[in-house]
Amino acid sequence: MKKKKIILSRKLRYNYDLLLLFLIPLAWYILFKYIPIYGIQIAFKRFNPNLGVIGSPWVGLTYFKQFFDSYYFSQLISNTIWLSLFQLAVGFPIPIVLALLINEIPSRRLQKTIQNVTYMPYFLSVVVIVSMLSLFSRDTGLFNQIRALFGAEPVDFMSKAGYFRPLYVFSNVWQNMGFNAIIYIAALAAVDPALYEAAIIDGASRMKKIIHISLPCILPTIIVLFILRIGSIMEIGFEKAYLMQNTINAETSEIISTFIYKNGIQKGQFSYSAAVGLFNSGINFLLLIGANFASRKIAKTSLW
Amino acid sequence: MKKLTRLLVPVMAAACLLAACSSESSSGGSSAAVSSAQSGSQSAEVPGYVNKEGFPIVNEPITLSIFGSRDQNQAEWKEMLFFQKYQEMTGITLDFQEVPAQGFDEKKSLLFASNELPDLFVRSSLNESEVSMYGVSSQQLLVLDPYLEAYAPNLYSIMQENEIVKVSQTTSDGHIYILPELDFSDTGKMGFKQWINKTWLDKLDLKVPTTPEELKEVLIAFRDKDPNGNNTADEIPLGIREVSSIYVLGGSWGLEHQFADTVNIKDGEVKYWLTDDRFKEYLTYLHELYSEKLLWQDYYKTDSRPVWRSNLSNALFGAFYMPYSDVFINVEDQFIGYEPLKGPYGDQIWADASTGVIAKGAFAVSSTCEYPEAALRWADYFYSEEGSVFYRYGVEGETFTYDESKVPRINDDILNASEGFMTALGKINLVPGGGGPNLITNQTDGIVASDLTKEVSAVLVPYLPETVYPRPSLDEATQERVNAIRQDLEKYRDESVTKFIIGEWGFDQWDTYCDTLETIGLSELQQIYQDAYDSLYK
Amino acid sequence: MKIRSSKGDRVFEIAVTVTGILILILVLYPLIFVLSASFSDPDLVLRGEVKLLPKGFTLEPYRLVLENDDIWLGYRNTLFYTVAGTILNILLTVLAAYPLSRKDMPWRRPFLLIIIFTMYFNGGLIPTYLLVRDLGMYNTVWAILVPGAITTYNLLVAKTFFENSIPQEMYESAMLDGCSNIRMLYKIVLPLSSAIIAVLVLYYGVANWNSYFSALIYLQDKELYPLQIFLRDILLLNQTEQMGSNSVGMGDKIKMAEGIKYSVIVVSSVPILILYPLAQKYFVKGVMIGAVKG
Repeated sequence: MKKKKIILSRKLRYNYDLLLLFLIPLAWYILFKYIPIYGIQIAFKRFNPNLGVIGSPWVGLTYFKQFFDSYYFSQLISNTIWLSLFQLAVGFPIPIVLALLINEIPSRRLQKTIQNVTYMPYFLSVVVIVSMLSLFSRDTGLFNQIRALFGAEPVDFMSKAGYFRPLYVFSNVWQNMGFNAIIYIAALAAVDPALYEAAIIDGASRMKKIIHISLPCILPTIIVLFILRIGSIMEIGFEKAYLMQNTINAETSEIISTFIYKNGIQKGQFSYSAAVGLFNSGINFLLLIGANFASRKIAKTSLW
Repeated sequence: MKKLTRLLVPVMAAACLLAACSSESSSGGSSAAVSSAQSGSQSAEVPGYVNKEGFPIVNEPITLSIFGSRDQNQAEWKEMLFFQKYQEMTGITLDFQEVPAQGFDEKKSLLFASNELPDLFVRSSLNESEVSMYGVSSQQLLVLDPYLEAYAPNLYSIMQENEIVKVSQTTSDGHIYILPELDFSDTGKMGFKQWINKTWLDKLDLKVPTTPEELKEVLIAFRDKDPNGNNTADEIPLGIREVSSIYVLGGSWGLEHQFADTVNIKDGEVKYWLTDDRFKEYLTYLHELYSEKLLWQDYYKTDSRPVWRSNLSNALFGAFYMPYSDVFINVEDQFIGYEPLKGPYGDQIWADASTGVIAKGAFAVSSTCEYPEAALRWADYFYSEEGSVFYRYGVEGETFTYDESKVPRINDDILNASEGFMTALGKINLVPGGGGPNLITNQTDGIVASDLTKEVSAVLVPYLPETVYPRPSLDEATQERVNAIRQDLEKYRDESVTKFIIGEWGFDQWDTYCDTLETIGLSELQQIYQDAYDSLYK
Repeated sequence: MKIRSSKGDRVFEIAVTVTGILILILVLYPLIFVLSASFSDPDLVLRGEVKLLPKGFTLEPYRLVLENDDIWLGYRNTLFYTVAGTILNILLTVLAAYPLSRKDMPWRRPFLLIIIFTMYFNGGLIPTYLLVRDLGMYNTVWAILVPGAITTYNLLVAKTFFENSIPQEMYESAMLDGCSNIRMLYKIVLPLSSAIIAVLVLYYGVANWNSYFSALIYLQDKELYPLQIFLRDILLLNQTEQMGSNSVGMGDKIKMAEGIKYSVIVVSSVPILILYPLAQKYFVKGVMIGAVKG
């Protein structure tokens, strides 16, 4: 303990200017991230703007209860979880596979081209992506033109509940796989070539090289990114789902964040939406801790 | 760790204090203002600054801040001719705080949360649940009743003559917080009107249908016989605009629209007919139409509005339902109105009837407004005949002229403006998008209603229900319960009804549908409104 | 033995190349389609005649879009928000990442936890909105620039970069020379950081250009609106009636509205796409070093 005390005061003496530098961003965090947390208590109160956050009366778990009792509660939770899991299961591995693929392409030019082209869609805004989906889903839109090539009847993808998740996830993949692959491509580039040379001498095929060298070398990167992803399972992109929603696909497209937005902000049910939001964050956090713990035990890598 | 906590505690405490200070300051001031404003209203003498009648409204210039939704066709309010002229007339300067329509709901509710309120709310579509929250509970909206007789005489006398209007505007605590947009014209007595293509009927030598079966036959002919003569089967026999419009023919099955909802009121009994056999029969009929491709196949899709409008203006629909003809004005002369169909039980009712109040929350005053008397006089003018003309048409000579029958006609350069009529009108007044405080009469509905629309409406007027009841107001706790039920109920209803019509669900699912509605709370909802009705009318 | 493995390898290579080309097409085709549709006769687009190349080549949609004042207003504002916002973002992020990357930073671990915690818990929109109002930022550019100034994820990436690419020895020798920590920042760290700055420019720049939610909530005056808000009006809320047109009647306007959508998409995305080859030079290197260790 005494040693720790000495080290700390020495740190302070020599590095107080580091603290000074840090003070500005810290102030920002306190102001814009921590002070609003104070307002979370409206989840337990009946918020009355005239009485303010402090003066509004306590109602305990009323709004949580209202949420759990709602007819749509289980559907919301299941939609959110399914969408997230689907997104994770599809969206997480694909950039890795893409990176591995690009790494194996013999032609250097083709490699560069694919890399550069695939990360272009990253720059498009979500408004543009959703409107593209909408335009392509029309009877004469791109998707249905392709269907017509195979002799199939046109389908309005945006209006069918069953298509919402695939549309959402695959358009996400289309937009982000190139950009997300870059991290893995970079990690692959850092692998010591000597390892590959040794493998060739041992007569290993390409596939074997990938499985036994490439993958294990980038595994730490993969795991860390995975943990960060898990923590946001319940946080799944509100903006895109909101823009894609309509009455028909609502049974799969209504997720917790869109529900909070529509009821809390648009309909002014502040306390109710705060309660649901808090519930959401709580689950997120538990998942993160769980994932980090599991990862530390199993793979010896963790976020902290 | 100890060092950590020792550091964090003062930081957190400081944060809490800061937050406490900021919330308190925003709430402390306004509660004081609320009490003084509410008590000041009881005095019977006219305050010195305001004139009880005539213009200008005030003796010394005052400023009132104004908030509302700016429709995309409207110019910024500070540049609108209507506001500029009215400021001159009244002597009241306006501080414009309006926001664009996109994001309006969000901004409105956040505005109330922040408690920094404007004086006037115009075109803010305040609904009963908001009035319950912000008027009754948090007292951010001003109680208007004490001021009505003295400072809003036009509206006051309308309310005396029309009990329905008074009931519609009164909240559960017995007070009035919002003023309406009223439409007493023939075209305003109903929402959708029914239109049918006379040119096609004549071409195919058909008579105007009088029953659902006859309608179906006419639709089949429209579908198959190429009445527009272009050798392509591009005709769409029946056009219904969207999911919420499918109830429009329900009157022929006796399904009315009381309380602006799927409700019948007969002999004092309030009935939600969503689970009735008649409704099932009605949906079966619509399903037949849909499956035989007589009903517009895309009606329920999102993003369908542009295609709907395009179809209308290209005269592709044989029969359809629209409130006004502005979208298809170029092909208007092909269409006529006709009487409601006589249904299987002899009902011949046009269900989409209006109470006369087409927007409940067109105008409100905040409890922090210092000049409530002037605020009310400001809005009241538009409920007079003269004010209605000014609100809807502008200034005589400058923007409109009277024709031989003393009906105002908007100037041609506005009507035929290159940027579009609605955009040009939006530079002049608040009419595009509707929803502002004014009275519409048979004289002034012409700004949005063509002459043909008036004829089409006149045909339907005799078939409107005798009394159209507005939705009753409820106290906050009940209103919250109703909101919770309606949210889930309407969502499920819309999804299910659509599935029945497009055939995704067979009618073997009907019982499941009914049971689910019950589970969500249909009977409870019905009982709540029954009790409200009883307390008002029995 | 060698010949056999190279045959298997050859098959593998062909499979990989073919897949790569397919992916290329998959990504490229929708983009080309949108570009072509924006130059085509809207009628043909609506009917589905356009497959790959423009049909009925016309510049009319572009003319309408570029004549629209709102689009230019949005451009001007978005440009400002993106440039000013990104500068502010990078400034604050570096000011936080550098100290956190130093092992001898006092209370390093607690600060890290405080920051990571905010990735999962936040006060929600209403308390934040009330705060912004109380600070007097409502309906000002500050509401767009300040509340979102730091993205914790980016902060962590930057911190990791500093940790991995600046050896402890450099700090130690600088300390021996009597260099203060602050001077170390601009004498040592920044010169070595072109890669991570490029990464931050890309992450923050794209996010700023494409953002619309803060504007929706905090802005009231049309003069302050970014491009994305106008975009949303046109593309998703079908508010194209604003675009003046000399064509006759409503029907024409609707057709024109469809054509406008594609042109609007192109017009709003092209500027930010320009950023990408510029950043590419520095970007890949930066990501490589920044993220490998995680």
